[in-house]
Amino acid sequence: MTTFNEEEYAKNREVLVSVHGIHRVFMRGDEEVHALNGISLDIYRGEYICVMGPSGSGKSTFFNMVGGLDSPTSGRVFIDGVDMAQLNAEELAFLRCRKIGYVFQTFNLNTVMTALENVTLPMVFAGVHADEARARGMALLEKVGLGERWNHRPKEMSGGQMQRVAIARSLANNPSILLCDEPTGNLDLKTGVEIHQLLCDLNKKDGVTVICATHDHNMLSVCDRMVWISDGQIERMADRANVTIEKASLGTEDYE
Amino acid sequence: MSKYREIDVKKQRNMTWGETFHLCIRGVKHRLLRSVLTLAVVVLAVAFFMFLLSESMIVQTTGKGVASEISENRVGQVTFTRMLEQATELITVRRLATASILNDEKALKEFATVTEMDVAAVSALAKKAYDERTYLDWFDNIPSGRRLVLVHKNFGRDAIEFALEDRTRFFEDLAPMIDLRVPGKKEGLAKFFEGYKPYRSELTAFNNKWNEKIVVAREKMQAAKGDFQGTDEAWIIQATEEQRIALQKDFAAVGFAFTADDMKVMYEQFAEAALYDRMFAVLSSQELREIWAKEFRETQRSSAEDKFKQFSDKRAIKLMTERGFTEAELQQIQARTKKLGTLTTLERKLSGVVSLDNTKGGLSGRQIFLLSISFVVCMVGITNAMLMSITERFREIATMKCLGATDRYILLQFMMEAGLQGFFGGILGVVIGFVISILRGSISYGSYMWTYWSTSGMLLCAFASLLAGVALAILASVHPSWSASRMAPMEAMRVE
Repeated sequence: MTTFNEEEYAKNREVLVSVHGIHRVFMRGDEEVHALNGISLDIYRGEYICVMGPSGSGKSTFFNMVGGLDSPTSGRVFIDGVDMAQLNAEELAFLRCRKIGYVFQTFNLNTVMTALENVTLPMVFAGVHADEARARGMALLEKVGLGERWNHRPKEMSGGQMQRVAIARSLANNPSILLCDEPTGNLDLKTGVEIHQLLCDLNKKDGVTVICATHDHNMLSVCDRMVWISDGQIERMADRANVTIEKASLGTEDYE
Repeated sequence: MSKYREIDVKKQRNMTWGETFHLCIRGVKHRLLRSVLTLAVVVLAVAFFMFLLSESMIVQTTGKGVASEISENRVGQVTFTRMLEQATELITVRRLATASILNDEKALKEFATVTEMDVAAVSALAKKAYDERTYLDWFDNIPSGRRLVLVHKNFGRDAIEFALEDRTRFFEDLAPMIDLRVPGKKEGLAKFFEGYKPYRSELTAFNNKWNEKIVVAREKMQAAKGDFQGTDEAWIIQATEEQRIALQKDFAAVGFAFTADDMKVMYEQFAEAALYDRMFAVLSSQELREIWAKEFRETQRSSAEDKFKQFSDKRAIKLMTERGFTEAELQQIQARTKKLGTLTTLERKLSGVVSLDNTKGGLSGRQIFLLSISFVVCMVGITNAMLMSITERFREIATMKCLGATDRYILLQFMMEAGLQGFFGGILGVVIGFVISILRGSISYGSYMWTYWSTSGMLLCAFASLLAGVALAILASVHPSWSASRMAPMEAMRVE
């Protein structure tokens, strides 16, 4: 069992997301379901972190907490020093619009809009001027390698291309956090690798903090740190140095 | 934890209506057809509104036109009756009421000269007569159960007098029947009761005076006829022009507003009617019926009207010429039959749907009821269809929320989309409703519909239906849009 030396890891790093002992209880009929059982975790600025865990482990719930999409039953979540519990609906919308970028497993592009319109949508919400939004949108599409296809609609694109558009969209308002929920879950292996590479580039070159939920072990080679969640608790953590060992030994058989 | 950095979190800005509309418009051409169900309901509803409105408008305008044409065709007979026949009090009430509501100065002046009264006094009496007519109608329309309570089994003037006898009891009984809307409210009715007795005696005096003059006019008519045996109309037809002018002057001397021109119109109409009667008699004779049956192999069912229509047939013309009708007469009859035949058929049709002396127009109670029922049904239908389409789009909504859309924006967007659907569906519905009502109108009224066509009225109907469609769609979308706006953003993460 590899241990993770948090103190050493935290040196020279700045905390971006901080989770303190969160619990989340759902009611399924009369039965209480404890999705999260006291998770505490600090996520640092510029980090590429992978959250892993089997279905039903509470991974998705944890993810929603970090992304400001759901609030915990108890415990607190801070994003960039802001206590999420203190925010009202409009302030949460502001935070989601500018601070967090979301990438979904099912891409969730607006099918009636072109690639460029999809990318500029969050800028419209943020009130960016149309000309500037267009310029920035084009630049983002160039960055993900789809500059040529700005006027195509989602149904004219492949899965990989759609996910690239979705990534460009998530970056629209220069968020500090990129929240990716199984970004390669609906893609084939080769395209998946390309998407990983793109996320990795964004993380390394632009310094975006990437939080990524995945089943995909190809992710392991690019991330800085991984967190295993099981039964609503953090089972273990590992940094990049230990990851390769994990991949070779038990990671694959456990989670595939 | 010392490294926390405070960021400035504000409230998310509200999108302007323009921005929201712009985003809406982008998707609407794709979405318009996606929610076929919603659109279909809107189209049907608006088509129905448009049909009801424009049909009622066509009926109203055509009805009024037809009614005035019919009354023009009968003006001779009506004038004649007015001058020579004793009027009952109720006939006088009706005449006075009509003159009062139409503000017919000529008629009022005639009443005044004939009865040797002041014009102001006559118009005051006419106003009261109008009130009486209104209340007579109202009393006659009381539903039977309440009639029993209010005025026992009485109708007409008996009902008024019964109520008058014990006014306190009548008003006490009336008080709880709030849906029996009294013309002019209860105060108006009380006032009417107050003045009823003096009004009645005034009216009786007026009527007696009028009938005295009718006796004078009759004497003049009798004098003009001399030894002539036959009806008054028959005398007028065979009289020389001098005799007719003399009679007209006699009538005018009594006080009737009856000019030489009126006499001319009357004479022409009587002559035409006589010709028509002659033709009808010939056609009804057994001898001709047999010939007709042989010639045209037709059964007994045909009316004289149908037979006249066959005058275009050369054999029919020959048959009638043999019986002493000239070519010109035949043509005259043909024209008259064609016109009057259509007019009377139309009158019969229209009398079911529109009261011809109703000058106000508008929808009937039944139509308003139908309209409101259909409005509610369509609203439920659209709400349901939209709720369904929103569950289809929950991922899109949640994603937009993840991208920074506020609840208000989602609400606005969905309501705008519904409004646009209402608008486009409404246009289609208006066209469909218009076409149907035109088809129906031309089947029922033929060319008369175009004679009394009103473009502005039709545009008003189209506008009203379109507005109703948009309002319907927006109203129906309130609940679905609200539930869409309340959707949690984490739905976007869900994978099917």
